[in-house]
Amino acid sequence: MQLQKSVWVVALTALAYMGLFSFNQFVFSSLDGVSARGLVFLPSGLQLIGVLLFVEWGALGLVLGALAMGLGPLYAGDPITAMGAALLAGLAPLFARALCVRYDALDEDLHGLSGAALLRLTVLFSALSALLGQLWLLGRNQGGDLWAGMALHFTGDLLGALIVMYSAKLVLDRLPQLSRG
Amino acid sequence: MSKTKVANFSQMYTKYLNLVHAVRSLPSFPQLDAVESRMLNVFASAWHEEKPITVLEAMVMLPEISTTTAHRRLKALRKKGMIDLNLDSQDNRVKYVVPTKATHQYFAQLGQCMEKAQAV
Repeated sequence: MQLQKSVWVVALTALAYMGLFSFNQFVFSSLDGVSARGLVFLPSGLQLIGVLLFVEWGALGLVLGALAMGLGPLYAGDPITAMGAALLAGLAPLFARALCVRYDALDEDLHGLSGAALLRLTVLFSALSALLGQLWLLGRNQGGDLWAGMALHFTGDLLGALIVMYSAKLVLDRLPQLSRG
Repeated sequence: MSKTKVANFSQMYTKYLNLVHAVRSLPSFPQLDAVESRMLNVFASAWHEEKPITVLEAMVMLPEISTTTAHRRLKALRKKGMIDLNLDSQDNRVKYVVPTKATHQYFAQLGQCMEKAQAV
């Protein structure tokens, strides 16, 4: 039964990642025209939420979702690069969470998680994701300028995560008003 | 339902609730309602003239609202970080309503809006 629940978590996280990735490409790729990640990368918000809620199963779902999207035109027929990037999509938020548990007193059950701590985690995750992602691409000779790539990757992840979280906040702040009519 | 399963769901739900709480407490500019905004404006006039405002005075500065409402709004403004309370150095029973950094930002933003409106 536990396995069945975990399979559902993995499948739903992967599907949500794919959906958000496609939506992101549809909305933003035409705006900046830089890369598939672009200046805003909405799935990064899901990466954080998925790992905070479901930890390793969420990360596995993210890896599978990223793999499904990455094997498309994004990495121009280079499956090894796509697989590495997909692995990092799950590992970067997991690593950021582990660092916050270790050094920022983040509780495993998120007890006492404040908005400020969530923002710190978001920044750390964006930085880690950018660093690992660009190093991987550099190792695969696809990186180009490391710093420019990192800056774009960091900005995209940070803005994407902030947009997702503040959208959630906007909805949550409206909920009591809706229930009161 | 087995105890382990209940514990797993419970843990997941706790995580979800904690995350929702964290998302709700993400920093943002506080939204003020009309009464809070009016109270701040009245306080701002006094602060501009460098007159100290005690909590008791603050509660009667708007004659159109009851002291209960004024007290509630003072608490709301404090919770939103738009005012702070300072103890009197001589008498600990007296508290002064003082502006915060967010209050100054709020009025600065309003000032900029007025400047823009005048420029149009």
